[in-house]
Amino acid sequence: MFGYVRPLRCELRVIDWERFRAAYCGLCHTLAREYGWKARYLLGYDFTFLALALSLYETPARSGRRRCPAHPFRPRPCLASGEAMRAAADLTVLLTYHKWRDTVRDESGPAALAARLVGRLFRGACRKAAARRPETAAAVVRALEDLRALEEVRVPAIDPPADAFARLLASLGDLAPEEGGRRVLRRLLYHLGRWIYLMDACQDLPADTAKGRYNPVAARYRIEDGALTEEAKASLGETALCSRREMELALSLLPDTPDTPVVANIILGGLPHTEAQVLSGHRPRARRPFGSDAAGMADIEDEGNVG
Amino acid sequence: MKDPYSVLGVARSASDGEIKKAYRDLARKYHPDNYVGNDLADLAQEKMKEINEAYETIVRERESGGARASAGGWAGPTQGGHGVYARVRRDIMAGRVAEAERALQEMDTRDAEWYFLMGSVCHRKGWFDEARRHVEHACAQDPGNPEYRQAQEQMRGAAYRRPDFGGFYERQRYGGYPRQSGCSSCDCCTSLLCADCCCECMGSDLISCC
Repeated sequence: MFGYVRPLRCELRVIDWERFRAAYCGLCHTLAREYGWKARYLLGYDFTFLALALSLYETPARSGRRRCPAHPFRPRPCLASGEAMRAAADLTVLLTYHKWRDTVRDESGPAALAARLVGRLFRGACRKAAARRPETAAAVVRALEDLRALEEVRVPAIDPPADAFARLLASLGDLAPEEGGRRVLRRLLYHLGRWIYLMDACQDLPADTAKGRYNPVAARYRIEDGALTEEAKASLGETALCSRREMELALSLLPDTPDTPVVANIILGGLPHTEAQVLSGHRPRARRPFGSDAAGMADIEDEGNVG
Repeated sequence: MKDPYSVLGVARSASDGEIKKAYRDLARKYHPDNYVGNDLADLAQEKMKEINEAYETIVRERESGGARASAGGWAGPTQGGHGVYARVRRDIMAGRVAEAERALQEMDTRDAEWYFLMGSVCHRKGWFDEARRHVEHACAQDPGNPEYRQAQEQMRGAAYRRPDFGGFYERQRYGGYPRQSGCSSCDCCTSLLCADCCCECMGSDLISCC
Protein backbone atom coordinates (compact mmCIF):
# COMPACT_ATOMS: atom_id res chain seq x y z
CA MET A 1 0.00 0.00 0.00
CA PHE A 2 2.72 2.47 0.82
CA GLY A 3 5.94 0.72 -0.07
CA TYR A 4 7.99 2.33 2.69
CA VAL A 5 8.87 -0.87 4.51
CA ARG A 6 11.37 -2.68 2.36
CA PRO A 7 14.73 -4.37 2.79
CA LEU A 8 18.02 -2.68 2.03
CA ARG A 9 19.29 -5.15 -0.46
CA CYS A 10 22.98 -4.34 -0.37
CA GLU A 11 23.06 -5.31 3.32
CA LEU A 12 21.07 -8.50 2.82
CA ARG A 13 22.73 -11.90 2.64
CA VAL A 14 21.81 -13.91 -0.43
CA ILE A 15 19.93 -16.48 1.60
CA ASP A 16 17.96 -13.74 3.36
CA TRP A 17 17.11 -12.15 0.06
CA GLU A 18 15.80 -15.51 -1.12
CA ARG A 19 13.68 -15.77 2.01
CA PHE A 20 12.26 -12.32 1.47
CA ARG A 21 11.39 -13.18 -2.09
CA ALA A 22 9.82 -16.45 -0.97
CA ALA A 23 7.66 -14.53 1.48
CA TYR A 24 6.72 -12.03 -1.24
CA CYS A 25 5.74 -14.82 -3.63
CA GLY A 26 4.01 -16.69 -0.82
CA LEU A 27 1.86 -13.68 0.03
CA CYS A 28 1.00 -13.25 -3.64
CA HIS A 29 -0.12 -16.89 -3.91
CA THR A 30 -2.08 -16.62 -0.68
CA LEU A 31 -3.86 -13.52 -1.96
CA ALA A 32 -4.74 -15.28 -5.21
CA ARG A 33 -5.98 -18.39 -3.46
CA GLU A 34 -8.09 -16.61 -0.88
CA TYR A 35 -9.40 -13.71 -2.94
CA GLY A 36 -9.00 -14.61 -6.61
CA TRP A 37 -6.44 -13.59 -9.21
CA LYS A 38 -7.34 -9.87 -9.04
CA ALA A 39 -6.06 -9.71 -5.50
CA ARG A 40 -2.51 -10.29 -6.73
CA TYR A 41 -2.47 -6.65 -7.77
CA LEU A 42 -2.78 -5.58 -4.14
CA LEU A 43 0.53 -7.17 -3.16
CA GLY A 44 2.97 -4.84 -1.43
CA TYR A 45 6.25 -4.79 0.45
CA ASP A 46 4.71 -3.48 3.68
CA PHE A 47 2.42 -6.46 3.89
CA THR A 48 5.28 -8.82 3.11
CA PHE A 49 7.08 -7.43 6.12
CA LEU A 50 3.94 -7.94 8.15
CA ALA A 51 3.68 -11.56 6.99
CA LEU A 52 7.34 -12.14 7.90
CA ALA A 53 7.08 -10.52 11.31
CA LEU A 54 3.92 -12.41 12.20
CA SER A 55 5.34 -15.71 10.96
CA LEU A 56 8.28 -15.51 13.39
CA TYR A 57 6.00 -16.97 16.04
CA GLU A 58 4.74 -19.83 13.89
CA THR A 59 6.27 -23.22 13.39
CA PRO A 60 8.38 -22.81 10.25
CA ALA A 61 6.24 -23.03 7.14
CA ARG A 62 7.25 -25.45 4.46
CA SER A 63 8.38 -23.64 1.36
CA GLY A 64 8.05 -25.10 -2.09
CA ARG A 65 8.46 -23.90 -5.64
CA ARG A 66 5.52 -22.60 -7.58
CA ARG A 67 4.75 -21.00 -10.90
CA CYS A 68 2.61 -17.91 -11.33
CA PRO A 69 1.58 -15.55 -14.16
CA ALA A 70 4.57 -13.33 -13.48
CA HIS A 71 7.00 -16.26 -13.50
CA PRO A 72 5.38 -18.79 -15.84
CA PHE A 73 8.47 -20.79 -16.79
CA ARG A 74 10.76 -21.07 -13.78
CA PRO A 75 8.97 -21.90 -10.56
CA ARG A 76 9.93 -19.56 -7.73
CA PRO A 77 10.49 -20.63 -4.14
CA CYS A 78 7.56 -19.53 -2.09
CA LEU A 79 6.54 -19.79 1.55
CA ALA A 80 3.50 -21.92 2.24
CA SER A 81 0.59 -19.93 3.62
CA GLY A 82 0.15 -20.27 7.32
CA GLU A 83 -1.93 -18.20 9.68
CA ALA A 84 0.49 -15.27 9.42
CA MET A 85 0.32 -15.19 5.62
CA ARG A 86 -3.45 -15.32 5.72
CA ALA A 87 -3.59 -12.50 8.26
CA ALA A 88 -1.33 -10.35 6.08
CA ALA A 89 -3.48 -11.14 3.03
CA ASP A 90 -6.67 -10.25 4.89
CA LEU A 91 -5.22 -6.97 6.05
CA THR A 92 -4.00 -6.19 2.54
CA VAL A 93 -7.53 -6.49 1.21
CA LEU A 94 -9.17 -4.63 4.09
CA LEU A 95 -6.75 -1.70 4.17
CA THR A 96 -6.54 -1.21 0.43
CA TYR A 97 -10.30 -1.37 0.00
CA HIS A 98 -10.96 1.16 2.73
CA LYS A 99 -8.26 3.43 1.35
CA TRP A 100 -10.09 3.50 -1.97
CA ARG A 101 -13.33 4.28 -0.17
CA ASP A 102 -11.53 7.21 1.42
CA THR A 103 -10.32 8.39 -1.98
CA VAL A 104 -13.86 8.22 -3.33
CA ARG A 105 -15.06 10.35 -0.43
CA ASP A 106 -12.27 12.93 -0.41
CA GLU A 107 -11.41 13.43 -4.04
CA SER A 108 -13.21 14.28 -7.20
CA GLY A 109 -12.53 13.80 -10.88
CA PRO A 110 -10.68 10.87 -12.46
CA ALA A 111 -8.98 9.73 -9.25
CA ALA A 112 -12.31 9.30 -7.48
CA LEU A 113 -13.85 7.60 -10.48
CA ALA A 114 -10.98 5.14 -10.80
CA ALA A 115 -11.08 4.40 -7.08
CA ARG A 116 -14.83 3.84 -7.30
CA LEU A 117 -14.43 1.38 -10.16
CA VAL A 118 -11.63 -0.70 -8.65
CA GLY A 119 -13.37 -0.50 -5.30
CA ARG A 120 -16.40 -2.16 -6.84
CA LEU A 121 -14.20 -4.97 -8.19
CA PHE A 122 -12.96 -5.77 -4.70
CA ARG A 123 -16.16 -5.32 -2.74
CA GLY A 124 -16.72 -9.06 -2.48
CA ALA A 125 -13.15 -9.68 -1.38
CA CYS A 126 -13.49 -7.06 1.35
CA ARG A 127 -16.72 -8.63 2.63
CA LYS A 128 -15.00 -11.99 2.78
CA ALA A 129 -12.03 -10.55 4.67
CA ALA A 130 -14.34 -8.71 7.07
CA ALA A 131 -16.30 -11.88 7.73
CA ARG A 132 -13.10 -13.76 8.44
CA ARG A 133 -11.61 -11.13 10.77
CA PRO A 134 -14.46 -9.11 12.21
CA GLU A 135 -12.36 -7.48 14.91
CA THR A 136 -9.61 -6.40 12.48
CA ALA A 137 -12.21 -5.06 10.06
CA ALA A 138 -13.83 -3.11 12.88
CA ALA A 139 -10.40 -1.79 13.90
CA VAL A 140 -9.73 -0.60 10.34
CA VAL A 141 -13.07 1.19 10.14
CA ARG A 142 -12.59 2.71 13.59
CA ALA A 143 -9.05 3.87 12.81
CA LEU A 144 -10.13 5.50 9.57
CA GLU A 145 -13.08 7.17 11.32
CA ASP A 146 -10.76 8.50 14.03
CA LEU A 147 -8.42 9.77 11.33
CA ARG A 148 -11.24 11.50 9.52
CA ALA A 149 -12.47 13.15 12.73
CA LEU A 150 -8.95 14.45 13.43
CA GLU A 151 -8.60 15.63 9.85
CA GLU A 152 -11.86 17.53 10.05
CA VAL A 153 -10.77 19.57 13.06
CA ARG A 154 -7.36 19.93 11.38
CA VAL A 155 -5.54 19.00 14.56
CA PRO A 156 -2.13 20.77 14.56
CA ALA A 157 -0.21 17.73 15.86
CA ILE A 158 1.26 14.55 14.43
CA ASP A 159 0.90 12.11 17.28
CA PRO A 160 -2.90 11.79 17.58
CA PRO A 161 -3.53 10.81 13.92
CA ALA A 162 -0.40 8.65 13.88
CA ASP A 163 -1.73 6.92 16.99
CA ALA A 164 -4.97 6.00 15.22
CA PHE A 165 -3.11 4.26 12.41
CA ALA A 166 -0.52 2.73 14.73
CA ARG A 167 -3.15 1.16 16.98
CA LEU A 168 -4.64 -0.52 13.95
CA LEU A 169 -1.37 -2.21 13.07
CA ALA A 170 -0.63 -3.02 16.70
CA SER A 171 -3.89 -4.95 16.98
CA LEU A 172 -2.40 -7.56 14.64
CA GLY A 173 0.20 -8.40 17.28
CA ASP A 174 -2.47 -10.48 18.99
CA LEU A 175 -1.76 -13.27 16.52
CA ALA A 176 1.30 -14.33 18.52
CA PRO A 177 0.59 -17.40 20.64
CA GLU A 178 1.96 -16.30 24.01
CA GLU A 179 1.60 -13.09 26.01
CA GLY A 180 5.27 -12.09 25.83
CA GLY A 181 5.28 -12.40 22.07
CA ARG A 182 2.06 -10.47 21.77
CA ARG A 183 3.52 -7.59 23.76
CA VAL A 184 6.70 -7.51 21.67
CA LEU A 185 4.80 -7.66 18.37
CA ARG A 186 2.27 -5.04 19.44
CA ARG A 187 5.09 -2.68 20.41
CA LEU A 188 6.95 -3.32 17.17
CA LEU A 189 3.90 -2.85 14.98
CA TYR A 190 2.64 0.18 16.90
CA HIS A 191 5.86 2.05 16.25
CA LEU A 192 6.03 0.80 12.70
CA GLY A 193 2.57 2.24 12.16
CA ARG A 194 3.63 5.56 13.62
CA TRP A 195 6.69 5.61 11.43
CA ILE A 196 4.73 4.75 8.25
CA TYR A 197 2.16 7.45 9.01
CA LEU A 198 4.90 10.00 9.55
CA MET A 199 6.68 9.11 6.32
CA ASP A 200 3.43 9.13 4.38
CA ALA A 201 2.55 12.57 5.72
CA CYS A 202 5.97 13.93 4.69
CA GLN A 203 5.69 12.34 1.27
CA ASP A 204 2.21 13.76 0.67
CA LEU A 205 3.14 17.21 1.94
CA PRO A 206 3.64 18.96 -1.44
CA ALA A 207 0.47 17.51 -2.98
CA ASP A 208 -1.64 18.17 0.12
CA THR A 209 -0.58 21.79 0.52
CA ALA A 210 -1.11 22.43 -3.19
CA LYS A 211 -4.69 21.15 -2.97
CA GLY A 212 -5.39 22.69 0.42
CA ARG A 213 -5.98 19.30 2.04
CA TYR A 214 -5.18 18.61 5.67
CA ASN A 215 -1.68 17.30 6.31
CA PRO A 216 -0.52 16.72 9.89
CA VAL A 217 3.07 17.76 9.16
CA ALA A 218 1.96 20.97 7.48
CA ALA A 219 -0.38 21.75 10.38
CA ARG A 220 2.19 20.94 13.04
CA TYR A 221 5.02 23.01 11.58
CA ARG A 222 2.80 25.64 9.89
CA ILE A 223 4.14 24.85 6.45
CA GLU A 224 2.30 26.56 3.64
CA ASP A 225 4.52 26.19 0.60
CA GLY A 226 4.81 22.39 0.69
CA ALA A 227 8.54 22.32 1.45
CA LEU A 228 9.95 21.02 4.73
CA THR A 229 11.95 23.60 6.65
CA GLU A 230 15.29 22.57 8.11
CA GLU A 231 13.86 22.90 11.59
CA ALA A 232 10.89 20.69 10.73
CA LYS A 233 13.21 18.12 9.16
CA ALA A 234 15.33 17.94 12.29
CA SER A 235 12.30 17.59 14.52
CA LEU A 236 10.66 14.96 12.30
CA GLY A 237 13.94 13.08 12.15
CA GLU A 238 14.02 13.01 15.95
CA THR A 239 10.49 11.71 16.17
CA ALA A 240 11.07 9.04 13.53
CA LEU A 241 14.34 8.03 15.18
CA CYS A 242 12.59 7.57 18.54
CA SER A 243 10.07 5.25 16.93
CA ARG A 244 12.77 3.30 15.15
CA ARG A 245 14.69 2.92 18.42
CA GLU A 246 11.58 1.49 20.03
CA MET A 247 11.34 -0.97 17.13
CA GLU A 248 14.97 -1.93 17.64
CA LEU A 249 14.36 -2.64 21.31
CA ALA A 250 11.44 -4.87 20.35
CA LEU A 251 13.48 -6.46 17.58
CA SER A 252 16.09 -7.80 19.98
CA LEU A 253 13.27 -9.60 21.82
CA LEU A 254 11.89 -11.37 18.74
CA PRO A 255 12.45 -15.13 18.53
CA ASP A 256 15.53 -16.29 16.67
CA THR A 257 14.39 -17.94 13.44
CA PRO A 258 15.79 -18.08 9.89
CA ASP A 259 13.55 -15.14 9.03
CA THR A 260 14.73 -12.88 11.86
CA PRO A 261 17.73 -11.51 9.89
CA VAL A 262 15.37 -10.36 7.14
CA VAL A 263 13.17 -8.55 9.64
CA ALA A 264 16.29 -7.06 11.24
CA ASN A 265 17.55 -5.87 7.87
CA ILE A 266 14.28 -4.14 7.12
CA ILE A 267 14.16 -2.38 10.48
CA LEU A 268 17.85 -1.52 10.80
CA GLY A 269 18.65 -0.94 7.15
CA GLY A 270 15.56 -0.44 5.06
CA LEU A 271 13.68 1.98 7.28
CA PRO A 272 16.58 4.45 7.81
CA HIS A 273 17.29 4.34 4.09
CA THR A 274 13.69 5.19 3.18
CA GLU A 275 13.53 7.77 5.93
CA ALA A 276 16.58 9.60 4.63
CA GLN A 277 15.11 9.62 1.14
CA VAL A 278 11.71 10.87 2.26
CA LEU A 279 13.04 13.60 4.56
CA SER A 280 15.47 14.87 1.96
CA GLY A 281 12.68 14.87 -0.62
CA HIS A 282 14.58 12.49 -2.86
CA ARG A 283 12.38 9.44 -2.83
CA PRO A 284 12.96 8.22 -6.33
CA ARG A 285 9.62 6.82 -7.45
CA ALA A 286 6.11 8.03 -6.94
CA ARG A 287 3.67 5.60 -5.41
CA ARG A 288 2.08 3.38 -8.01
CA PRO A 289 -1.57 3.96 -8.73
CA PHE A 290 -3.86 1.81 -6.58
CA GLY A 291 -1.03 0.87 -4.34
CA SER A 292 0.19 -2.10 -6.27
CA ASP A 293 3.68 -3.46 -6.17
CA ALA A 294 2.66 -6.45 -8.24
CA ALA A 295 4.62 -5.39 -11.27
CA GLY A 296 7.55 -7.20 -9.75
CA MET A 297 10.48 -6.47 -7.56
CA ALA A 298 12.49 -4.61 -10.15
CA ASP A 299 12.82 -1.51 -8.01
CA ILE A 300 14.31 -3.36 -5.06
CA GLU A 301 16.52 -5.31 -7.39
CA ASP A 302 17.85 -2.08 -8.89
CA GLU A 303 18.20 -0.50 -5.51
CA GLY A 304 20.98 -1.14 -3.14
CA ASN A 305 23.73 -2.02 -5.56
CA VAL A 306 25.67 0.78 -3.96
CA GLY A 307 28.54 1.21 -1.57
CA MET B 1 41.50 11.39 24.16
CA LYS B 2 39.99 8.81 21.86
CA ASP B 3 36.53 7.36 22.47
CA PRO B 4 37.18 4.44 24.85
CA TYR B 5 34.55 2.28 23.16
CA SER B 6 36.15 2.60 19.75
CA VAL B 7 39.55 1.81 21.26
CA LEU B 8 38.18 -1.51 22.48
CA GLY B 9 36.21 -1.97 19.28
CA VAL B 10 32.87 -2.47 20.97
CA ALA B 11 29.51 -0.74 20.56
CA ARG B 12 28.38 1.68 23.26
CA SER B 13 25.56 -0.74 23.89
CA ALA B 14 27.91 -3.64 24.61
CA SER B 15 27.34 -5.50 27.87
CA ASP B 16 29.94 -5.49 30.64
CA GLY B 17 30.87 -9.06 29.72
CA GLU B 18 31.51 -8.19 26.11
CA ILE B 19 33.69 -5.27 27.10
CA LYS B 20 35.73 -7.44 29.44
CA LYS B 21 36.19 -10.01 26.69
CA ALA B 22 37.22 -7.38 24.14
CA TYR B 23 39.68 -5.96 26.65
CA ARG B 24 41.20 -9.37 27.42
CA ASP B 25 41.58 -10.25 23.74
CA LEU B 26 43.31 -6.98 22.96
CA ALA B 27 45.51 -7.19 26.04
CA ARG B 28 46.66 -10.66 25.05
CA LYS B 29 47.41 -9.42 21.55
CA TYR B 30 49.54 -6.47 22.59
CA HIS B 31 51.05 -7.99 25.73
CA PRO B 32 54.70 -6.90 26.15
CA ASP B 33 55.75 -10.58 26.42
CA ASN B 34 54.89 -11.02 22.73
CA TYR B 35 57.25 -8.23 21.77
CA VAL B 36 60.35 -9.11 23.78
CA GLY B 37 63.40 -8.20 21.75
CA ASN B 38 61.33 -6.70 19.00
CA ASP B 39 61.82 -3.21 17.53
CA LEU B 40 58.13 -2.54 17.73
CA ALA B 41 57.93 -3.16 21.47
CA ASP B 42 57.44 0.54 22.26
CA LEU B 43 54.49 0.81 19.87
CA ALA B 44 52.85 -2.23 21.40
CA GLN B 45 53.40 -0.77 24.83
CA GLU B 46 51.73 2.47 23.77
CA LYS B 47 48.81 0.52 22.43
CA MET B 48 48.60 -1.47 25.65
CA LYS B 49 48.49 1.73 27.66
CA GLU B 50 45.69 3.09 25.50
CA ILE B 51 43.66 -0.09 25.95
CA ASN B 52 44.14 -0.07 29.71
CA GLU B 53 43.04 3.53 29.93
CA ALA B 54 39.98 2.91 27.77
CA TYR B 55 38.93 -0.07 29.86
CA GLU B 56 39.36 1.83 33.10
CA THR B 57 37.38 4.77 31.74
CA ILE B 58 34.46 2.60 30.71
CA VAL B 59 34.40 0.72 34.01
CA ARG B 60 34.50 3.95 35.96
CA GLU B 61 31.79 5.51 33.80
CA ARG B 62 29.49 2.52 34.17
CA GLU B 63 30.02 2.21 37.90
CA SER B 64 29.11 5.82 38.45
CA GLY B 65 25.93 5.11 36.51
CA GLY B 66 26.17 8.18 34.36
CA ALA B 67 25.86 6.40 31.05
CA ARG B 68 23.71 3.59 32.37
CA ALA B 69 20.75 5.75 33.19
CA SER B 70 20.08 6.71 29.61
CA ALA B 71 20.43 3.26 28.06
CA GLY B 72 16.83 3.18 26.87
CA GLY B 73 16.41 6.88 26.31
CA TRP B 74 14.57 8.70 29.02
CA ALA B 75 13.45 6.48 31.89
CA GLY B 76 10.68 8.65 33.31
CA PRO B 77 10.13 10.97 36.26
CA THR B 78 11.28 10.11 39.75
CA GLN B 79 9.48 10.29 43.08
CA GLY B 80 8.65 13.78 44.30
CA GLY B 81 6.19 16.64 44.16
CA HIS B 82 3.11 16.89 46.30
CA GLY B 83 -0.65 16.56 46.08
CA VAL B 84 -1.96 15.46 42.70
CA TYR B 85 1.48 15.68 41.11
CA ALA B 86 2.95 13.16 43.54
CA ARG B 87 0.17 10.71 42.70
CA VAL B 88 0.63 11.29 38.98
CA ARG B 89 4.36 10.67 39.30
CA ARG B 90 3.70 7.43 41.16
CA ASP B 91 1.22 6.38 38.46
CA ILE B 92 3.69 7.04 35.64
CA MET B 93 6.45 5.17 37.43
CA ALA B 94 4.17 2.20 37.94
CA GLY B 95 3.10 2.26 34.28
CA ARG B 96 -0.50 3.38 34.94
CA VAL B 97 -0.32 5.89 32.10
CA ALA B 98 -4.03 6.20 31.37
CA GLU B 99 -4.82 7.10 34.98
CA ALA B 100 -2.02 9.64 35.09
CA GLU B 101 -3.25 11.23 31.88
CA ARG B 102 -6.82 11.44 33.16
CA ALA B 103 -5.70 13.05 36.41
CA LEU B 104 -3.66 15.63 34.51
CA GLN B 105 -6.47 16.47 32.14
CA GLU B 106 -8.84 17.09 35.01
CA MET B 107 -6.55 19.74 36.44
CA ASP B 108 -7.04 23.45 35.77
CA THR B 109 -3.49 24.70 36.27
CA ARG B 110 -0.98 24.47 33.45
CA ASP B 111 2.35 25.11 35.16
CA ALA B 112 5.81 23.78 34.32
CA GLU B 113 5.29 20.60 36.34
CA TRP B 114 2.03 19.90 34.51
CA TYR B 115 3.74 20.18 31.13
CA PHE B 116 6.63 18.05 32.32
CA LEU B 117 4.36 15.27 33.57
CA MET B 118 2.16 15.43 30.47
CA GLY B 119 5.34 15.12 28.42
CA SER B 120 6.30 12.07 30.47
CA VAL B 121 2.89 10.49 29.83
CA CYS B 122 3.21 11.13 26.09
CA HIS B 123 6.71 9.69 26.03
CA ARG B 124 5.52 6.57 27.76
CA LYS B 125 2.71 6.22 25.21
CA GLY B 126 5.16 6.58 22.33
CA TRP B 127 3.86 10.01 21.28
CA PHE B 128 7.38 11.35 20.95
CA ASP B 129 6.59 14.58 19.16
CA GLU B 130 4.01 15.70 21.73
CA ALA B 131 6.35 14.61 24.53
CA ARG B 132 9.13 16.86 23.29
CA ARG B 133 6.76 19.78 22.85
CA HIS B 134 5.39 19.49 26.37
CA VAL B 135 8.81 19.16 27.96
CA GLU B 136 10.08 22.12 25.95
CA HIS B 137 7.16 24.08 27.37
CA ALA B 138 8.11 22.98 30.87
CA CYS B 139 11.72 24.04 30.32
CA ALA B 140 10.63 27.41 28.98
CA GLN B 141 8.47 28.06 32.04
CA ASP B 142 11.04 26.84 34.55
CA PRO B 143 14.48 27.03 32.91
CA GLY B 144 16.36 26.29 36.14
CA ASN B 145 14.88 22.87 36.81
CA PRO B 146 17.55 20.18 36.27
CA GLU B 147 15.00 17.35 35.96
CA TYR B 148 13.18 19.00 33.07
CA ARG B 149 16.48 19.79 31.37
CA GLN B 150 17.65 16.22 31.70
CA ALA B 151 14.37 14.87 30.33
CA GLN B 152 14.58 17.23 27.37
CA GLU B 153 18.12 16.07 26.64
CA GLN B 154 17.39 12.37 27.00
CA MET B 155 14.14 12.37 25.04
CA ARG B 156 16.13 12.90 21.90
CA GLY B 157 16.35 9.78 19.73
CA ALA B 158 20.13 9.97 19.75
CA ALA B 159 20.13 9.46 23.51
CA TYR B 160 18.91 5.90 23.10
CA ARG B 161 21.59 3.28 23.36
CA ARG B 162 21.27 0.95 20.37
CA PRO B 163 20.80 -2.71 21.20
CA ASP B 164 23.73 -4.78 20.03
CA PHE B 165 23.25 -6.38 16.64
CA GLY B 166 26.72 -7.79 16.25
CA GLY B 167 28.35 -4.64 14.95
CA PHE B 168 26.31 -4.38 11.75
CA TYR B 169 24.00 -1.53 11.00
CA GLU B 170 25.90 1.20 12.76
CA ARG B 171 24.11 4.44 12.20
CA GLN B 172 26.89 6.17 10.34
CA ARG B 173 26.88 3.48 7.67
CA TYR B 174 23.45 4.58 6.60
CA GLY B 175 24.28 8.26 6.47
CA GLY B 176 26.51 7.79 3.53
CA TYR B 177 24.64 5.84 0.90
CA PRO B 178 24.57 7.72 -2.35
CA ARG B 179 21.20 8.63 -3.70
CA GLN B 180 19.84 6.43 -6.43
CA SER B 181 19.69 8.17 -9.74
CA GLY B 182 18.83 6.72 -13.10
CA CYS B 183 21.28 8.28 -15.51
CA SER B 184 23.32 11.38 -14.93
CA SER B 185 24.74 13.58 -17.66
CA CYS B 186 28.12 12.07 -16.80
CA ASP B 187 26.83 8.58 -17.59
CA CYS B 188 25.47 9.81 -20.93
CA CYS B 189 28.81 11.30 -21.95
CA THR B 190 30.70 8.18 -20.93
CA SER B 191 28.31 6.00 -22.92
CA LEU B 192 28.70 8.23 -25.98
CA LEU B 193 32.48 8.12 -25.72
CA CYS B 194 32.39 4.33 -25.42
CA ALA B 195 30.11 4.10 -28.43
CA ASP B 196 32.50 6.35 -30.34
CA CYS B 197 35.45 4.10 -29.47
CA CYS B 198 33.52 1.03 -30.62
CA CYS B 199 32.63 2.72 -33.90
CA GLU B 200 36.25 3.69 -34.44
CA CYS B 201 37.33 0.12 -33.88
CA MET B 202 34.92 -0.95 -36.58
CA GLY B 203 36.37 1.62 -38.94
CA SER B 204 33.65 4.27 -38.68
CA ASP B 205 33.21 7.29 -36.39
CA LEU B 206 30.43 8.54 -34.16
CA ILE B 207 31.90 11.74 -32.75
CA SER B 208 34.03 13.22 -35.46
CA CYS B 209 36.19 15.48 -33.28
CA CYS B 210 37.63 12.70 -31.10
